Amino acid sequence: MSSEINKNKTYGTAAWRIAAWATFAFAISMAAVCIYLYILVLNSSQERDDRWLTGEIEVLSEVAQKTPKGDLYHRIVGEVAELATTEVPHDPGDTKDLNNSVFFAQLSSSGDLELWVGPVNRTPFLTALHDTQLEPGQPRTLRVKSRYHHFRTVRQVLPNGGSVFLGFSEHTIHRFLSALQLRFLVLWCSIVICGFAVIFFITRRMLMRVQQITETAASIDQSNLSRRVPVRQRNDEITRLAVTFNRMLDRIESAVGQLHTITGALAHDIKSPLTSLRGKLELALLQNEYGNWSEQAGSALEEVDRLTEFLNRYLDVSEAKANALSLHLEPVEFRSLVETMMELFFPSINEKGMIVELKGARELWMNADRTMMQRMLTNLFDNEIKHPPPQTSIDLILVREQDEMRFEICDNGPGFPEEIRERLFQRFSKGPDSQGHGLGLAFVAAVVRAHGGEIHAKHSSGRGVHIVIHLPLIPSSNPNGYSYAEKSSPCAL
Amino acid sequence: MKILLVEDELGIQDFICRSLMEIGYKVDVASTAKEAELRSLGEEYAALVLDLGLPDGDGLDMLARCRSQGFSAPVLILSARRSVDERVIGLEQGGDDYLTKPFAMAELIARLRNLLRRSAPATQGVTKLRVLDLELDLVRRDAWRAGVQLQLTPQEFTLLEYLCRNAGRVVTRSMILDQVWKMRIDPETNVIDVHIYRLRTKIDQGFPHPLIRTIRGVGYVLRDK
Repeated sequence: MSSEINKNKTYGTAAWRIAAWATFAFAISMAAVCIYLYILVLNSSQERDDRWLTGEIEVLSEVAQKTPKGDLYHRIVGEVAELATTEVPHDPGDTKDLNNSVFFAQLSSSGDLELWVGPVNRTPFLTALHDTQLEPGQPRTLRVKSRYHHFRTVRQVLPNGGSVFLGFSEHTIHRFLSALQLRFLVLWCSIVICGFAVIFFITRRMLMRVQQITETAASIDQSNLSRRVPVRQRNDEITRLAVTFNRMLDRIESAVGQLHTITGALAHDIKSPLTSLRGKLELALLQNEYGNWSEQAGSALEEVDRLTEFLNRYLDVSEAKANALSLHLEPVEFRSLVETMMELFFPSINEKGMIVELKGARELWMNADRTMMQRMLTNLFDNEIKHPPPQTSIDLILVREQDEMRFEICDNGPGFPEEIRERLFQRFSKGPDSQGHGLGLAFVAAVVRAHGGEIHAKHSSGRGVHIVIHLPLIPSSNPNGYSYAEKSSPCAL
Repeated sequence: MKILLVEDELGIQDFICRSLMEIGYKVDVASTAKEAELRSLGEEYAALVLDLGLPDGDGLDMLARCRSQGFSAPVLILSARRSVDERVIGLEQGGDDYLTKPFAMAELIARLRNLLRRSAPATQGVTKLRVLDLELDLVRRDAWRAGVQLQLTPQEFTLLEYLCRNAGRVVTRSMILDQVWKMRIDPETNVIDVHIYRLRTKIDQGFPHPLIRTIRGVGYVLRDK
């Protein structure tokens, strides 16, 4: 199975991709933080150096000014300069290269060297000082040929027109910064690797549960709908997915079960009339020479009509269940509809010795499909004629309740059989003695619901059938004067 | 009178054709929309019986084309599509009546006759109907059999009037429901039979020759001879 293969693969899985992308974003942001910190350190150490340089050059220029020129001048200024160089920031312990890392120069106004303290090979320094324009008091980086590191240098102008220069090598700060770089890199790498691992394993564990759901779904086929996904205690999204998935499977299982029942019932309901039809035709054929065809042909036709009627009824209910009923809504007055229907059914009701009485509100206007409503009422009347014993009395009650109407049908017969009360409005639910197809009330319920109404049955001991239907009425501010009242007259019979 | 029958299923085509010829109509048949279109333009027909599912296109499209070219005869649509929607579309697109399969041949004939009568100039001012010894006054809504006035309810009178208008022809239960009660319903119980039974007791009791005959499996007929 392909899911088995996927389980053992790491690269290319969703967990892998999520971890990779999360790590990518994480690594970039970490790198940005490191670079920012690095630049911050770089700037602040340079600032400190520059402050030191400008401070020292002030002292030195002052000493240079105050010291009288002569033999002593070189010694005093030189010593002060040397003293200053020992105070170079960074690496106080690293003094072996001190002479190489700091220089002090005094130039006359004509550019001649007056004093030099620093590395022995001073020519490249002097060349660099000549070539570079240094603003007084503004430290700058000086490139010195033959020196690997640059020198941070500041210039101060003396009152006599000469200049003093103080510079020191940037090699200490470079060393410090490269150490910092290395540490940042190591830190970045370990955080990124660690982050990737954590994200990957957490995601993988989560997705393993999704994988379980996938495997369950893959293992489900028509013959086996009973498998379910394990549900954990923790109430997170995946648990909810599992719960929802299980519920969906429950629904599918019950729907498939229902479908099996319905198909069985449908096949049975079609097969029996077909069998009797076949029998009748066969009989007619055998009796051809002696008997009279018309009896058999007539009864076969009746059988065909019953079958057709059953199929139509079944399709109606299926369409209604699938919300595929196309309703042609028009203002319909419900009471007159019931009255017309009563007139049609009156002889049949009368024949059985039943009494039917209609009570309650008038002028119940609703937006409804007239034919559907007629067919709904036909089903209800058919039921009342077929099932209760003779002499039953039937009450039809109409009640207006604000913007809706309540229609109650009750009788004093034995009521619905106990075993079908729970699924009264489902297809193929019929009592053990019923000759019908068990579609009537399912159709009634479907029509009521298609019109935005509700239907339920009340069961109480000693009472007969009691069906309550709620249907929305056309809301009106003036219940006495409907603009379409002229349509209210029922068909004259 | 010549009728054009458009139906692609040969079995159905054959029995409709034979039934119509039996009662005296001339029938031309077409199995495809193309053929039907050509025939409808070439000849004058009194009516068109049209099946909607044709092999080379929808019958309704064909009808719309014929209508736009001046075809004016009444059209009875046959279809296995039974939803109200289809029916309405069919009638809007130029059909005059609609019959769903399976149907009783008697109903097809009755509906076709209705259409032909409607398209013929109306016989106005009919206030009395007479079938054998049965007499109906349509204005006063009274009925007599052999000179004896019958006590009929308004419903029963309407039912009898419908049977008289179709005297000699079979009417099915669904036709009665449709024409007398204006309902397209199919009750599981025998409501129409009970109505007919009551009517029969009133008009046939005590007479040697009953007027209303039951045609088993089809419907009822009011004898006219």
